[in-house]
Amino acid sequence: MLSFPETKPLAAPIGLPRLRWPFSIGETIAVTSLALVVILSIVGPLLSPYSPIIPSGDQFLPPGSRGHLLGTDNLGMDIATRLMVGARTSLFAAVVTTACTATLGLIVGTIAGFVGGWLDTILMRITDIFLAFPGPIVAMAISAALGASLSSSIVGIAIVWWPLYARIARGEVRRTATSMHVEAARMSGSRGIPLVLRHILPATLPTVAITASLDIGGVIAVLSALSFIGLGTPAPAPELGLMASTGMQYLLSSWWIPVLPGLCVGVLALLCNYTGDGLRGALRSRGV
Amino acid sequence: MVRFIIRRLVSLVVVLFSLSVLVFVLQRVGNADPVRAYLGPNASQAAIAATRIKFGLDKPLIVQYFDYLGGLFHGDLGMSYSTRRPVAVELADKVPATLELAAWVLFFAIILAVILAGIYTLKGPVSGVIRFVFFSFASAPSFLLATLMLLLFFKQLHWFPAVGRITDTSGGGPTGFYVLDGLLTGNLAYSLDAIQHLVLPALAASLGIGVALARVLADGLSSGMASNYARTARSLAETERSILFRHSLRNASSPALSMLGVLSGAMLSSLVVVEQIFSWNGLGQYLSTAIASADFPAVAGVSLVLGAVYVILTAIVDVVLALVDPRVKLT
Amino acid sequence: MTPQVLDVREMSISYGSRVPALLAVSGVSFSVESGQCLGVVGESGSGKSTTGLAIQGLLTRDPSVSATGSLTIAGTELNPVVERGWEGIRGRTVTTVFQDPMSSLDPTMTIGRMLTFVAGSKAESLRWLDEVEIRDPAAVFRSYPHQLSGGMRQRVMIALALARRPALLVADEPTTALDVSVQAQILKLLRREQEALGCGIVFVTHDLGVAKAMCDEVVVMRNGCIVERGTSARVFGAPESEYARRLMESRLTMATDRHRPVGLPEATVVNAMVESLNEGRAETATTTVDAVTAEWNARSLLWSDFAPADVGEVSVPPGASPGAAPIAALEFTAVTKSYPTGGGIARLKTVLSEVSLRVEKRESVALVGESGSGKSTILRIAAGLESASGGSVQRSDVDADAVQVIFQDAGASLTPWLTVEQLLTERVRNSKRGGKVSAKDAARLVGLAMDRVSLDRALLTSKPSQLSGGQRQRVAIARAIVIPPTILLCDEPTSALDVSIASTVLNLLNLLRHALGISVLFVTHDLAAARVISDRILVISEGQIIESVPAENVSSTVSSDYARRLLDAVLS
Repeated sequence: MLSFPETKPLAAPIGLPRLRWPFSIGETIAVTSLALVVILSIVGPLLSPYSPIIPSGDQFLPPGSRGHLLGTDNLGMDIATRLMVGARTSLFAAVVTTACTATLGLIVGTIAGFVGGWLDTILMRITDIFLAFPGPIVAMAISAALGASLSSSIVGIAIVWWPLYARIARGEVRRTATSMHVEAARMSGSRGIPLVLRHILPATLPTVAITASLDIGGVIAVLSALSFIGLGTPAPAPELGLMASTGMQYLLSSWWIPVLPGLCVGVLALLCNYTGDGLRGALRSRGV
Repeated sequence: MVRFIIRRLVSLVVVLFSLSVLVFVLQRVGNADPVRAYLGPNASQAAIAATRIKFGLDKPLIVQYFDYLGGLFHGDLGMSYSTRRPVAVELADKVPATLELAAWVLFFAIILAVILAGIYTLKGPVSGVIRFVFFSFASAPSFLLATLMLLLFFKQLHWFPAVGRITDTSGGGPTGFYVLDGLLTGNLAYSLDAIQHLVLPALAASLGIGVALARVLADGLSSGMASNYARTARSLAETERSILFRHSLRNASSPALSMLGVLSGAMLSSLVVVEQIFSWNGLGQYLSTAIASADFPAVAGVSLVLGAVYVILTAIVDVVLALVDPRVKLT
Repeated sequence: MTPQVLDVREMSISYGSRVPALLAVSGVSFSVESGQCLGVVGESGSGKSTTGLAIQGLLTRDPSVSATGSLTIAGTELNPVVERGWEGIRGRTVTTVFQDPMSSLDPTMTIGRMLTFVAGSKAESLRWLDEVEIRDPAAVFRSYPHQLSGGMRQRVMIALALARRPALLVADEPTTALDVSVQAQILKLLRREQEALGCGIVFVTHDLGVAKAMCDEVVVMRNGCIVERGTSARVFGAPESEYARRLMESRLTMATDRHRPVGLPEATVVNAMVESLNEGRAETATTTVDAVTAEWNARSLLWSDFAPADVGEVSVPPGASPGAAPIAALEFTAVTKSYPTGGGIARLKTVLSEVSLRVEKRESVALVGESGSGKSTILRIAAGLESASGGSVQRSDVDADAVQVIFQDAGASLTPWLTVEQLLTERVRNSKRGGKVSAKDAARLVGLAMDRVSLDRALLTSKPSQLSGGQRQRVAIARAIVIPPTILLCDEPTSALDVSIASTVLNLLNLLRHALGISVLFVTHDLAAARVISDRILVISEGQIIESVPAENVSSTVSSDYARRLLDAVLS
């Protein structure tokens, strides 16, 4: 008998699949770091000897200065303390925004998708109009109209963002509602709200949750951009976008004042994106 | 095609109309007082009352809105509170500045996306490092990218200028697009100078969307390479390279183009930030200033113009999409 | 002696990426000569598809696949998992016709561009389109795949595969995705082209009828091994191995005896039969598994044996005792159905026009037609999942328990996150009769239903994903009959299943309909299956019922051309 010139070895059976840690190494690092950042942003300001809004030392101290790990800004406020408080605000605001938006979208989308008919048409025409807007620009206009503050930024983002979730939820509900298992459930006598809760929503929820977890990073970035152009809480509030924006004029002399808050936003968004992506992978592999 | 154009025009009108309602209503229910914004904090009660009547703020809300809407039909975007000049006039020379920048941003983003997606595909499906880079840039806010670029290319390397659109402001041309103006008037040095000013802001605004685009493109390419039609091509002795370029790329372009449409909204907002940082005399910088001075007519005017730009951009994307994918019909 | 184009010896292939590592093909040997057609036949998981991919050289890209043994194509020795050596062979000496012509053709490319790449010139491409019996080659040349019908796409696929004049053609389930009448044309075309080109064909299929019609020689695969080989006539006529014998017996033809269970005795069905026979009888009169098996083997077990004297206390709705009133289980009177199409407000597409049909109590009627004939629409209207545009639909009972449905894809018809018990209990609770019963009685009904479809009660806590395809279809049946309906609507319940599982499901359905006295409306494209399950067959085409014939002697009584074509498609 002939044999192949190159033969790859036959892999041995490994046994039954075990329940494994669902994240890759990179994602594990991201999840752990995110947890650390959250703890740091909550505990850190309490332990810090400085106030985030009162000057506490010399101006323009570079990072690594004695007593001021990340230096001080143009007014002599401790940057490390301000960053921790800013990160806390950012994360909290992003989670609140995303949660409200996703819930609103899920409710509207589920109603539109399940009830169908004219209600569906009306609701989807409304989302069509919203989706035809340049979202972030409209969010800026709305929060400007409401007057600059963090809460108006949140409202602005929520108003332009919910149609996206409504679309996703509606699509999923429609897809599930016409799928065979729901038709079979209808045939077995399920109707109305029990049918939605028992046979449809469990299929839609993961998709919406995954989208939301992937969006948190983006919302952090958008919120910081709004704050950067002056739509957040006014100075001297320790908001990351605002800190970067007021620090811009010192870029060439004291680079750390605008760069550090920007980096902070970038890292937060990165960790959230990585975690969201890991979550998606974990849920997919479990076949949800 | 005619139907498509009509539908898009209708959609443009609907978008602008609802945008105007939205911004108008929110401004009235919000806590910004236009009269105070117009007159400043030290105005007398009499002056306030007079201005209120002058702006028609004493009329019912619905009448105020229709006055505003009527103005829009004549190209009148209202009077800026802070400069006291017509908003439409103020915007006229800022629109080309922003459009020129936007064109370069899209150009950079597409090139970046193709290069990154190519690397991603050739390196195999799961390359942790590239994925990390993808994520980092996609997550970074545009003001961070802008600051880092200024530090590197302006402060350290002195390669590119940091502010403005042009060094010599006395020149100019018919269109307001400086690169084009230079070419039209035969002044190549002018064009070159304009390009030098464009590079940093365009790059800062394009990195994020370029990377996001690359992810969609790379996903499309790798699923294209694993598809049944790729299997058919393989069974007919096509090379991997030929499958990538003849089949996968074209199929992957449709989701990437749809994504580009969505991303152009994000691009407009990063333009606002980037224009502010680079003192780019466009709509974005104007919007930042207007926001700072609670100048509602100016904010609304910019939103409407950018809304129109967005609708037109998505329409262009749809046309290209239909050219690339025969299954897509323009409706 | 004709030259050998393919020689496979002791080939084993395993997938290392699956956990546990899967030995997909184990020690397979066969050879194909020019002008010969070899059928590789097996059920899902038999390794036939991996064998097909290996001889096309399409396993070289996956680094987790490993192989041993030898593979020789037209004199060249090759390794199925190593790319070196395949250039000049794959796509030239060996080409393929794939199963799904929609996804296998690049949607963004015209047929002309694809074909010219292979055929060389436009003239040659047009000649090939003409060769595969495409009526308007010039128009198809300019078309995109989505503008063609399934049969046309498969013809294009064949043109692509043949244009290089290969020595070996691999046909990987080439007719599975097509309508039955198109299927016959494609097979005829493949046969003719093979004679013209003189190439060898490896025909991978799960469809025994197709294999028998098409192949000179056949290998039967199971669990990665060849269990039987020989000439087509010998393997189909007198199979030697136990597995092949069972498989051949399960095959439905127009000659299958419709009064007895299909195939060889099988534990699942026998258990359900014993359960049914013993139910409601005195302890002393009970029958056993062995007795039923013996009777089945002796061909003396008839469906009529299961018809009960008394249908039993749980299954008879009050006021609907059998024979009480001559009302039908289901009656359609001049039912029409049309959908608005995208074109405009007034444009309607008519799916059903003036359909009248009547299913008597305890009668079983099959509705046979091709895809797009409107047969599924009738079922959906009967089920109340859609409403008719005109005409009237009457069911014997007004309450919701009258009608139950068994769908084609059982896996998809069970809500993935609910357990079998939750699904069955929900059905009991939602029904008019079951809504009032105590938890204990509900559990008893659920248990009884599990016994009736011969499912272990231990499976009650399983979720659908933990069950096999056959088990899932049985759960779907159990859910439909846990509260017995007046009429059971079946939407191609066997077409997604392997032959042996399909015969189990058919036997179970037949058993239940006789034992519980349920009417059945069975929708299918397969006349042979229709004949086995039903008393009467309705042939439907383009939204109209064109013929109604007794199932007993379909072959001799059908008169329309359309029904003849369906009949020819049942490859005996």
